[in-house]
Amino acid sequence: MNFIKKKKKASIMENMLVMLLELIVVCAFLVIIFGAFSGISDKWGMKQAAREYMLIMETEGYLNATDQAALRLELESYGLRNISFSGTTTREVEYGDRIYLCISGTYDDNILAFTGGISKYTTHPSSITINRQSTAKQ
Amino acid sequence: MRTIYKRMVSQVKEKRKASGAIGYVFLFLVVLILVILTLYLAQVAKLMTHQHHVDDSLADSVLASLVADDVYYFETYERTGTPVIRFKSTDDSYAIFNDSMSDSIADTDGFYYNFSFDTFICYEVEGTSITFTTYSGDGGTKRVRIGSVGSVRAPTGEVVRETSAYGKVRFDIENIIDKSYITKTKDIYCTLEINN
Repeated sequence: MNFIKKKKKASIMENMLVMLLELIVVCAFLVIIFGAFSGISDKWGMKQAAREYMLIMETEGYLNATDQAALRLELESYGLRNISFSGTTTREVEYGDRIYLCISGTYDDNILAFTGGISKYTTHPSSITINRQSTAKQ
Repeated sequence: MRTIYKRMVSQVKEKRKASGAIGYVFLFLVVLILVILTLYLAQVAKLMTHQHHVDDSLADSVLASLVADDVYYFETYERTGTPVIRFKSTDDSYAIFNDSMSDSIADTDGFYYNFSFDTFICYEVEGTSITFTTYSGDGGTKRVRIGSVGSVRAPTGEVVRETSAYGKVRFDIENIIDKSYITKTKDIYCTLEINN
């Protein structure tokens, strides 16, 4: 009879292990979900910031130093680093002339990496380029 | 007594087997549902983001193309007292629209397939007449027509009363389920105004 009791206990332990495994899998998926969605949200934020400053550039005719610094800060808040504005119109142009906003930088995508059976939450740097052009309306 | 004990042991074993199996099936189902849900939600979020992006890009590109002939504006104002707004160059406006839109969608690789410029129309109102220049297709086949104010409607349905532009783009997006292409079109009509 003792043998039977021991077997029953083992079954409960096994179910608990299964539940624990489920919990780990659910946590892993939550990490993946939040990682994927935060990436989408950050990239969308960067594009919206670029759009906002493009509209400012339209009315100014160029991207001035103050706006450039503010845009840099905003992009950094979305996780973009090594930011470059190379190719951006930084000198005032005439009404109707083309203006360019070129942003490039590095963004760390959060991913769940599997290395040798051990999973870890890590970052994967990817290059981001945002190019926009419009016409000066000042 | 021995037979009863054996039967009990086998019953316990059966029970144990059954409860374990339910646990594994439940785990498998939870994982399967989570995988499907994750992929579906990620695709929906991406789709919605890109839908907003193409709407914004189209509006920005048409607005960028609205470049008025400022010299003619002031000339007509001085001559008649009523300034006339017309495009500096409809060809240039079409080129600006194309370039601006191309730049905007360049960073969305793997989302828009077979992206093409469907139609771009510049409406120039002078007095009671409207000159509308239509550029069709990727090659931008040009066609100029004349109409009168009140009789010309933009493809979006608005009656054209001011100098304005209309842009339309066409693209395919990939079906999440069977990977087939779904053709979508987006269009917008914007008027050109000059602040005094």
